[in-house]
Amino acid sequence: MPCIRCGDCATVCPARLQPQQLLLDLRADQWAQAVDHGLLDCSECGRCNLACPSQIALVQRFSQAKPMLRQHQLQTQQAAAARERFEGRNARLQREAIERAQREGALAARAASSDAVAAAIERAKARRQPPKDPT
Amino acid sequence: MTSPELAPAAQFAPRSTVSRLMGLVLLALLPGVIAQARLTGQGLGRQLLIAVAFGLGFEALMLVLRGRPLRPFLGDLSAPLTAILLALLLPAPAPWWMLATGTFVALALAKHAFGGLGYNLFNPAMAGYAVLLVLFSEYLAPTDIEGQGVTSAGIALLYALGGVFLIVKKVIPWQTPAAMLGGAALAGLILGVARQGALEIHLQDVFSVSLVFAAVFIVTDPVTGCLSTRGRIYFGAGAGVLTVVLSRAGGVADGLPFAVLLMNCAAPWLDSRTRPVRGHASTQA
Repeated sequence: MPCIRCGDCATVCPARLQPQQLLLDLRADQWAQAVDHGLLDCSECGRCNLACPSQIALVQRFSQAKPMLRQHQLQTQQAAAARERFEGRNARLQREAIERAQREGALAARAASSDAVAAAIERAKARRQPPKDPT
Repeated sequence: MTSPELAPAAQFAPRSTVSRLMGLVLLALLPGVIAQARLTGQGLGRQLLIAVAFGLGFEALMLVLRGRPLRPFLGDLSAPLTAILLALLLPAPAPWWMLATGTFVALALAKHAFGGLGYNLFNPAMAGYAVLLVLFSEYLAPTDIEGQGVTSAGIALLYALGGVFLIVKKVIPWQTPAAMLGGAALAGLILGVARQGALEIHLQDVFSVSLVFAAVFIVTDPVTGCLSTRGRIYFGAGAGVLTVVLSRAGGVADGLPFAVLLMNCAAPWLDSRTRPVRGHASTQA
């Protein structure tokens, strides 16, 4: 039978949890809420099972959920780390692309300016003239 | 392999079942119902039977439509209980089509459209009653058993006795009915001062049949109420205050269903605000 929210599980819980609320959290995969509502405080004594008029196996559900919670936390952690790496790499690639564009722009601008042309002509002329005889 | 959620409890036989709880509530209704039937004649018994028949019919129909098994759900006594609670609030010779409409709204819409037993947001009997009040207000003048003095008080007392029985049997908490009657008394007092400037409690208003009936059998519905004790007190008190305010100043024949439905809306929020302090008793000072 489904939970009828009678609250008998909460009345008998020695840790003063609300097992039926935990069950809802777990069914909805709301892990943060389940922890917030005290999933890890459950000592699996089994009183809620005994009290439940709908014979819901609350304790089995909670004892299953604890390793699943660890798994979920690990996955969340790994996902966060992977995202951090990915976003760092993206930022670096973007920064490098901007710097390269700036460098190339500067080179092109220098090459295109009239000063650069005049200087090149000067250098060419200097090369063409024979060096003065020191004697 | 059985699904982990419905595996049998580990070592012990269950001490309580849903059908036992519902059966005890029906049993607690019995003295008040018999007294009410004697007062209003044979109409009430027939009315209750018709309501139960429609209730079971709609319950079965919705279970089939939703592809749920009939076996555990039709026998859990929740549908007959809803139908009886609804029928008891209607004046005695209610026509069959009104009972049909009410039970349809209660069971097909308020209960099964929201996911069936345990998942409904609104009290099914109150949803049915509210719709009937809106649709057929001309048929539903304030219930005629009110205001008949001693007999009316006697019926209220019998319903209250049923409540005591349920509290002793730990089917319902005592806080919710107490809070509802307290809230109604307070609201009556304040309204009395505001209207007449007189500071007096009208006992026959507070301990009327419908209010005692609602305090014991309606606001104690676990599915649509609050979970924690504090939440239940707020829930009951809110329902009591709103019932009196809506009945006297709200322009409706009976404020009860609207008060309960409003509190049903507030229940999840109240629940989130009234979580008990966690931790094992020994680790707290």
